[in-house]
Amino acid sequence: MTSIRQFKLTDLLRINNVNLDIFTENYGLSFYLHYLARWPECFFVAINPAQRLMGYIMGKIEGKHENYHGHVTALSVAPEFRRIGVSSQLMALLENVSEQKKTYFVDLFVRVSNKRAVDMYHKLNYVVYRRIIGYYSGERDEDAFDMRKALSRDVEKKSLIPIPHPVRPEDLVDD
Amino acid sequence: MSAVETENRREIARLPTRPISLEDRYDPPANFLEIEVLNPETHGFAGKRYTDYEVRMKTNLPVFRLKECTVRRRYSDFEWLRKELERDSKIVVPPLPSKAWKRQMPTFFRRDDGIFEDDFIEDRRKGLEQFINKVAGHPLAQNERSLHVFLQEPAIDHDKYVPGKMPSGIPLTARTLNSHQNDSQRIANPRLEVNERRLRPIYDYMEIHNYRKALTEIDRLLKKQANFTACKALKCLVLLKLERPEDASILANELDTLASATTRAAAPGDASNMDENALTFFSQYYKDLRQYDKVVWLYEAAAKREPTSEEFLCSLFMAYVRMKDYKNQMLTAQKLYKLTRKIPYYNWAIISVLLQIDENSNQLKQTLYIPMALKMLDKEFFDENLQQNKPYGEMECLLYLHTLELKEDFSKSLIFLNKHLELLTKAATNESMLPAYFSHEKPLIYNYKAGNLDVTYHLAKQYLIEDNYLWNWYEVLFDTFFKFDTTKQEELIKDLHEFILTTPNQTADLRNIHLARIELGLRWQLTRFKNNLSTLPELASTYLTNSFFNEIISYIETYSLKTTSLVMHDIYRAFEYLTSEDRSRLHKHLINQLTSETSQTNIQYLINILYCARLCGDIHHSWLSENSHSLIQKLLDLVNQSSTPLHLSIELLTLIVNIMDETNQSKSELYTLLDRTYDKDSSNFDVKLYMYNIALHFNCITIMKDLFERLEIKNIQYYSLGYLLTDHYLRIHSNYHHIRSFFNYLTNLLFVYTDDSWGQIMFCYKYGNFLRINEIRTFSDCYLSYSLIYIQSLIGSIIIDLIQNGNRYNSIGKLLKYSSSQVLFDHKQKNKNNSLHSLFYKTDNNDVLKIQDTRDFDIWPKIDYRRLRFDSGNVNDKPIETISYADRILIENSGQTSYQSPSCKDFFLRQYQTVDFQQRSTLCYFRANILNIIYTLYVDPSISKTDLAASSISVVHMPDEQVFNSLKIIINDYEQCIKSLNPVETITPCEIQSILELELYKSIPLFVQILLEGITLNMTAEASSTPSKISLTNTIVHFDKIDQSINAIIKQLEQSYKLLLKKLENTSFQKRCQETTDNKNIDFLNDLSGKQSPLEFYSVYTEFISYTYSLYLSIKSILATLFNKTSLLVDNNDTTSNRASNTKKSKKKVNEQQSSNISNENENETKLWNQLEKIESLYNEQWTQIIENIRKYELFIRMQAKVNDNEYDRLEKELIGDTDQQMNKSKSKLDENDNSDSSSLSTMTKENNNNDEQTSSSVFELGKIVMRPSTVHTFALGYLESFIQIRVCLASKQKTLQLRQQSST
Repeated sequence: MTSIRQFKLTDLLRINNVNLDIFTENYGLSFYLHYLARWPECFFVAINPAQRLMGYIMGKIEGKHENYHGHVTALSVAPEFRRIGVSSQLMALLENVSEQKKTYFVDLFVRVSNKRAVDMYHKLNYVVYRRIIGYYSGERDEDAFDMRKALSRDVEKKSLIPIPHPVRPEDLVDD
Repeated sequence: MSAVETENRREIARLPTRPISLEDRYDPPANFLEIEVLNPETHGFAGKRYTDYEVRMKTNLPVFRLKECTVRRRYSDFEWLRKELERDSKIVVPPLPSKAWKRQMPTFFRRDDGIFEDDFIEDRRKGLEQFINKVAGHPLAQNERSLHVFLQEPAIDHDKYVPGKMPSGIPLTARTLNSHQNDSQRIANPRLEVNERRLRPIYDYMEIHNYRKALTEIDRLLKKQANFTACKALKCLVLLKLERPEDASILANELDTLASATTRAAAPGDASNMDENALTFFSQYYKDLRQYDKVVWLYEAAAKREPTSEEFLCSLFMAYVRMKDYKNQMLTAQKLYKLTRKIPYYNWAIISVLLQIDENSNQLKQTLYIPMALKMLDKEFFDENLQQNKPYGEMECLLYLHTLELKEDFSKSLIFLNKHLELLTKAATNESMLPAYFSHEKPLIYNYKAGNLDVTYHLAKQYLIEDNYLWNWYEVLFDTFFKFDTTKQEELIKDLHEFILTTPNQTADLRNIHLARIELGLRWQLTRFKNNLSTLPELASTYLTNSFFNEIISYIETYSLKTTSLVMHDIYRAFEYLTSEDRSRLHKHLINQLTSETSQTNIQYLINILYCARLCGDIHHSWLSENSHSLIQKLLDLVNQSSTPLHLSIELLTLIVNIMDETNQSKSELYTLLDRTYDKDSSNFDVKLYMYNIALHFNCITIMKDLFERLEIKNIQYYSLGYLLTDHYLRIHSNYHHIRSFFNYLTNLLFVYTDDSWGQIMFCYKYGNFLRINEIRTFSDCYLSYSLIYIQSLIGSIIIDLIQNGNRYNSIGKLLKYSSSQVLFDHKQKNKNNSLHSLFYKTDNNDVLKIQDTRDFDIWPKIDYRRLRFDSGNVNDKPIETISYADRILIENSGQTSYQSPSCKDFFLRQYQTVDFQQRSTLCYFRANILNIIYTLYVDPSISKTDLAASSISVVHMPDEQVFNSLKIIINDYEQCIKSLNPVETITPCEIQSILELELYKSIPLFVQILLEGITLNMTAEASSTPSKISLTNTIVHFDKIDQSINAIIKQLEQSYKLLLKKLENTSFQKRCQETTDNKNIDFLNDLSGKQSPLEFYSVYTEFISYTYSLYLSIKSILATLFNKTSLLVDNNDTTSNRASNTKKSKKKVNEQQSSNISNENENETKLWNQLEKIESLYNEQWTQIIENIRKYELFIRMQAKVNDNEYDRLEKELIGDTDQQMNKSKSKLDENDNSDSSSLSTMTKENNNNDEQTSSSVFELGKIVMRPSTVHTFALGYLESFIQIRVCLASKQKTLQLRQQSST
């Protein structure tokens, strides 16, 4: 019972029931605008029949050669719409786009402590590719998992071979 | 290999700055040479790593042996080639992209004109490609053997290589020469690279915002190289950053001369030229000054100097984009296309045509712009007459579809889509910009809009059979069905009902199926209501009577079991169309559920049932009034059960507060309960919002502000949630400097956001994402710049300045001249009617508000029961006008092409929002009008804006004809406003009521009447040729009429004051003021809460006094100047410190003047001055009483809340210090004050916190929860703050008034 459509700029004024949640990041206007200007095909909202925003996904396509991949920048669902499969629906969309673009895999970063999210991604067949030390800064810095799922183009599933040792954020420069 | 290639193309496909391989799109030009550098690949490892590139060339130039070839080259190979050419040929060899210096530039240079930005492409590859194209394109270089070896030998064998010329120097055609000659001329010499290196330390300092150091570095460099233009341009920028605009402007003038030159001053590469770097920096200077026309001018000149420079033309294009000069945008894009034959440029031209639509009338849209764009598209890409279509890309297709959509030619769109969709979505090598679902969504929309309802219906059904997970297709299905005429409906009704009511066999989303059934019922109800039908088709009415109700119940019961509260959000629309009988039936059923077995064991279920019951509105309300006590007790027991999980107990507590709220229990108890809930979980935003709501009820800005901060609202959320404060800031004046800085922040935010939007619009052009340009532009132009919240803050900041500082003629004049608030007044002058009307109302369609509502009310459902219940059971009572008005707003807000189902327009919320929004906009309009009157009297529009900002001396603005005319118009507007300010009882505050009931604003037009009726310009005099300022020689003064007006003013002022007192008498406030004994246990919170708090009366009075007092001052000075009695205006330029001496002086002056004028003074004049003085003493008298009253109440609060003397003194001192500050005081200082204030408050609170008994006990017991002393204390301080500020503002006005009176006697 979820309608999906592309993100509109005016939605920015209505995502508060999602973003007031303290774990959801609020970015500056230009950040959202840039994703809309550059990767509009990776930016979706889910709404319920009463037009209330349920959640959204924001992503991009980047990288070169075998690192060409889809990336989930933000995925957030309002508290009252959690645990009914909105996230998986949104993730499926981004995977769909990434597949359509012939990328090798989809990846995302998630707080190590966010067990519920990590479990969900596991369920969606994502595996931990590496751990990034102190990726999230805040009152207490926190590590991130870089989780990946191979797409059909990566026949040998090379993108999934985990890096056993943790990585520092400064080493993340996109190559 | 081919796969890798595609990738690289993807990266660059939409990047017009680099040569795009054209072979697949265009017939080759007569002579062509295209070299691409592609596929960088890194080999080796550790220290032996190197990267090489594929160099692929294609040519028909006879000079090359191979017409097509591909080699791999390393950077060192490029270096080798460069060295060889430099030694042997006579050409100036361009530099290699060495260290990609641009990447080292401070980010703010790269920030906006994305066209030169290389964040997203490999700098080096691009540079190498440019280098090799420049070199290979040069006829002289083409003779060099080294070039041929480099391009065409599989490997460069350094041992066997012999330098030399190629055997035959074949002449090139003019065309090849033209396209490359210029580039090679432009090629800089090595000195350029040196220059760039020298600038680097400056960038470094600028990057870390150390402009002082940057300036030192610049000056050192300029000492060495006095004519280094780029360095000078940097200096301009740095001076601006160092807040030395005058120095910067002197230097800029010098550079302007250089920039306007039509030919180059020196040889290429000479640093004294206005080169690319210099232009980048210099245009940034003008951008920072927001003089975008100058940026255009700079690049126009540059493009004239070098007409074939792609980069300059691109920059010029972007400069036009900023100016919204679509026509020139198009012309420049066409030039670029002609020059480079790159398709994206052609698309730029088309989109420039389409963008003109919004700025022009509808007629031109259909007759000129759309046909023009279509013609352009047809010509280049989609010419149907040609047998072979030229190849085109996805962008062109989307652009074509977009244009057809604008034309609303959906049948043609459909044909086009069918022809190309396959290719677009399935093309294996194409990167697709198309959103997922494109292939489903577009055919549906086009068919629907083209009127092919039959097709749409079946298509939607088909998609749903394939997969019913998406609600989108259900909406289309229903919309289509209910758009059919009755015969068609009868034909299909069986089909639809069967489809919706039969559960399919395959695994499907059951929730969707249930909701679709409810939706079906809703749609039938809606049809009945809309068409005033008494009967529906049999199938439909059977469904409605037999199963619809059960569907709803079964949905609620099934999905309340889920672990979330989603059921309330899903179901609430269903309540809107239920008859009141059905609603009470439903409510009864839900209430029975409360005692069911499931409710006993499943708390979430119970909560969900209660949320749903709440939607029944009045029915639930009356049930609650009898049963609330037991219900609350039951819920509290659940909260106190140790087995209840935390998140559920928070939800239960919110619900309890809600029930208590609805049954009118003590608000302080509610607040206390929430306060404790917050202790349990500080992350729940519903609790914070609820606390905010109650703080609003108590009219306590300090607490509201604190809660607002705890919500951690950031960035764009200020536009959607800032209303929590702005909507009320002007109602409860207090804490002026907090409010002022909040408003200041909001107005600045707009500037930052506008810049950001422009930057991203440039990206849209860069990445070919044209369809978003209009969206971003509209968002920034309408939603941000014309949002209610922005206008509120703009007006609010002027009003607060006026209240705090508008005590003297000069200061009022000064604060009206702030450049940030000019938007309000500029509009008045630009508009033909001199009316503010156009700012608030769309000119072509008067009744639609131009101001946009950006507020987000979607955050309230769990808190504000009023916003989510449906009271009016009778559908026919709904005011249809309101619906249609709201419909219009919704249509405007919905995207032009996106599918918007009518089902989403929920009546109740919509009505609430619309009424509230209309009232607030009207209020803004009203206030803006008053400010405009004052502005007209104080600021001389003949003084240009720059002078305005600079002029420190303000003379009395003697009105001229123009002033009189604008005053007449504003007054007319003003009267309209008053009429439209209907006091409607809504959830909105009482502001409007108090304004009207106090009759405060009636005296404002009277002040203007003194001028309009009392003074007539004598137009027959010879001076009438120019609109002259008034003076005794060209005017006739009607003393009787002035006298009449003044009497009316005095009467009005007295009357409104009496009304104020009368209103106050009803509040317990007045009683407390008269009591001398200290009453124990009086809840001062309740004294000050509610919609008619004395605080509100006083703040509205203070605002009103600021207006009328300013008007009084201006009238008095105009009259004084007219009668040559300027001596009466002694307050000019006075500051507190030297006032005493000044007064003495002016006294002396007064005496002199009076004695000299005494003979001229007639009886009327004396009477006039006496009358005016009466107004003054009226003010004086009123203020004395109010100040005294407030003082008494302050004392009362202090005693009640046990605020000790030290604390109070400190607070008062801070607040008085704050008002005494000169208004021009730098912001930093204000911030300091902010900090010290809040910190001292918090320390006070902290002290008290220690006294709080610990709340560790998790047991909640009603009636035993007492507000903590610290909370009471914070409330008390908040109120004291408000009262002191009002008192201080009045007192300072009184002080200046008394000084004036003293000096004139």
